[in-house]
Amino acid sequence: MESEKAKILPFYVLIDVSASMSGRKLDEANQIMPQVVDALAQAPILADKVRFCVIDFGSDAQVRLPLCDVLDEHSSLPPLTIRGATSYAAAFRVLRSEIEINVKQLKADGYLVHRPAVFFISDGEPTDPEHEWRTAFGELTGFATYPNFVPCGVDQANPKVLASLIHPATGPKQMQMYLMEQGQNPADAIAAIAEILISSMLASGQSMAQGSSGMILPAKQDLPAGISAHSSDDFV
Amino acid sequence: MSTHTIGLSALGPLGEQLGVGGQGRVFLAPAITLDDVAGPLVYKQYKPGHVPPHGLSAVVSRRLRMDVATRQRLDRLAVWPVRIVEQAGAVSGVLMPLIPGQFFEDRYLPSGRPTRSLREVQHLFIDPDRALRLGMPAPTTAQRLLVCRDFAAALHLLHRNDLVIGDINAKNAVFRLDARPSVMIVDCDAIRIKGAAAVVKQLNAPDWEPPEDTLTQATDLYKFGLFVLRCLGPGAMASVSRDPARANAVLAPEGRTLLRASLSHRPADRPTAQDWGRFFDGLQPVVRRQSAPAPPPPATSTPGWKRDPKTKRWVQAT
Repeated sequence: MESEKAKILPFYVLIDVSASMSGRKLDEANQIMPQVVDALAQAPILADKVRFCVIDFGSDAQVRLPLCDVLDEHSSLPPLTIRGATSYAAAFRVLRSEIEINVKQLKADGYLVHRPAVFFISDGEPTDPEHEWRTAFGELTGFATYPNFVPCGVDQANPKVLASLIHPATGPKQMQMYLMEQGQNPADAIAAIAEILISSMLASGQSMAQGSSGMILPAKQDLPAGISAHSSDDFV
Repeated sequence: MSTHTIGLSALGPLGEQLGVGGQGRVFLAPAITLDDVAGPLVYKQYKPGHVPPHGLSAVVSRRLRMDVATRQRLDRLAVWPVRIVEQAGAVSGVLMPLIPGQFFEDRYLPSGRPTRSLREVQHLFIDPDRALRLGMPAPTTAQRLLVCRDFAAALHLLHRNDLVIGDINAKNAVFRLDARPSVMIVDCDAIRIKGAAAVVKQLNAPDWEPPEDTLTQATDLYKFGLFVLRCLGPGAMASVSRDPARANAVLAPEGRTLLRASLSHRPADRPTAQDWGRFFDGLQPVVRRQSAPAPPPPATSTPGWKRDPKTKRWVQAT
């Protein structure tokens, strides 16, 4: 008899809700969750593979959508609202704690758990001291269930800072960073990043059984207009 | 140029692009009609480097050599490539029938956005209440058994004609429940003739891998077993399940035995599509008492899409 033990990919989206995100950028960010749900409604067996979580961060970080099957009848989508500064440190700490709890829970429920996937979307530089967010990031990427981390920057985000967050930065399973190209509208760029994260989620979910890393990013030629992909050594 | 090949120019002006995938793009081809195809046609244009290297003409020719009755049955159960399309002496794509409108569902996505979805068999595998919430049908057990019965008949026809489907999965077959519940295989690129190489490399979709490496009619039968299991035991994790016990509640002892044998690691153990067909046929009197009998579809027409003479737009044939 075959084992029924299924493999789950926990997929996290971290969204900047600092003051600079207000207006159309926030409107687009608020479209991400409904778009993810629509995408899964069109590929509903992926709900057997992917769990989705949304964390937003401003002065602090909050879990807005706890890791769940978004097609579940009881899951509801909270609106994102603006909350002050840009604390990367808070985002990394909350994410680490969530991953730890979620992975433990999934394993206790009898699932095999794939390395978590993270899309981190920011429109500005961190407002907390560098040593603080670097320490928090080190703790996030230094533990056994560290995530595959994909930073995405629009508007005033600092490419050098974001490039240092790509994880793993090297090796066969290295991740990438997505940046808004010069002169683009930042709200449109957030919509484009949503498209990338959804196609990554679908492709990752579909391919999981084939022993891949569990996280697939779109090929460069398939990226939406106005967004460029970078690896960690593109910015020094 | 032989009868199974036509030049790109013979297609006339192409219509709307219907889809794009890893292998190529699909366009309506409203200006061309073929005597041997009942409904509208589409042109699948392969991406550079994705033209199947060989074997395509064999699959197209096989259909053209069938007697009319068999060919019409084939056209009802598979979106078969009906002509190879060449440009400047090289294969550029294939002509295929348009998937009939009865295999699409008009629905609203959870965000409220209206959409028209191909009714892929993956929607049979999820929890029926969830399917309803997502705007898709939630067939009864009786209807599910009829879908399985039709799939078995389709598989039997293909196998009897020495064909191997290769890639049976959650997305490359679609279903309808009106009239007689039935399935249609929509991606025939991986089909090959027994004893010949596949048109494209035959691959296994994730969660549909058979125990053995080489894809044959025996692996089709294994994958059909997975289809039966997932269709009859829908719900959480059905799409990845390989445990035949999942369908115990809806299968008579004989069906349970067939399902266990289908999922055997020994290819020789697996029942044929005809074995399955006989089993499902035997269930029909019971099934008919449970659900209102549906009239069989008229055998002569292939309802689908037609061009409105006034507006020139594609509309669903009635």
